[in-house]
Amino acid sequence: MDVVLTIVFFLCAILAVAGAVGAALGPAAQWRLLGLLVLALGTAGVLASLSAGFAALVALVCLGASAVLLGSMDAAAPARGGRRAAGDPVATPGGGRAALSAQLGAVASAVLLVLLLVVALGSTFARGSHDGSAFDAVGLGRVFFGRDALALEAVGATLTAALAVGALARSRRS
Amino acid sequence: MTMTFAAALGVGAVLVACGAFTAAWRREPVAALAALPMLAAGAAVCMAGVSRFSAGAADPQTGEELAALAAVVGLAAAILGRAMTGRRAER
Repeated sequence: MDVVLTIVFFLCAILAVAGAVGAALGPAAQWRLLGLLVLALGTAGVLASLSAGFAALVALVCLGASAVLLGSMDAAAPARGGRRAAGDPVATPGGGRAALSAQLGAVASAVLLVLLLVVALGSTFARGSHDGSAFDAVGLGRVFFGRDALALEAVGATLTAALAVGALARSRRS
Repeated sequence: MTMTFAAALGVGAVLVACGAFTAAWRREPVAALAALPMLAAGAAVCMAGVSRFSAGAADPQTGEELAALAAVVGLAAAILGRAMTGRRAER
């Protein structure tokens, strides 16, 4: 069983990273939408292989909804006069300065990746094991609505506020 | 190759770095918003790894809980970002 979970973990990890890279570097909006959907699927698979089935389900729904939301808007952006991507050959006003800042940001993200990998691979962490089931909804429900009810309410309020702002912006546009 | 805590943290680190790269590299704000799901996914993978491999005896499910909450916060941020970007594009 552990071998199967390990294979599933690495396959889904490759899927998630490939989706993220595709969404980051995709030349067209459709490719970026596909990358985000693949990212959502791969992340849910990674979480499920880590015995976090409930979190995997939540991640699949939330990341999939984010992908559809952002991908559909991205596909409609050029029709509204959206600007071009950093990799596109057509120059924009102030493009040299923007390209320099994009390159500096790319270098900074590479430094961040190296730093995080050094911490992940070189550090020692406390050892513990999770003995619960793969889809531990009962235990998570107790944690959500018992000990950490305030955190759940805060996240719910954030989501409600975001939905309200989104609905307001949509109604003003139409 | 085995599934270890370092592997889970490594996958999360790559996803977070991809999100940071997307936010920095994409010039148009709509495409840069794609960084939000990547950052949320990276945080969720790290938290699920904590719950699987490094959970304390007192609170074994905190990592799973934070993974689920990170995904929901990512969705909320994406909705807010889309609303704000749409309003800015109108102006």
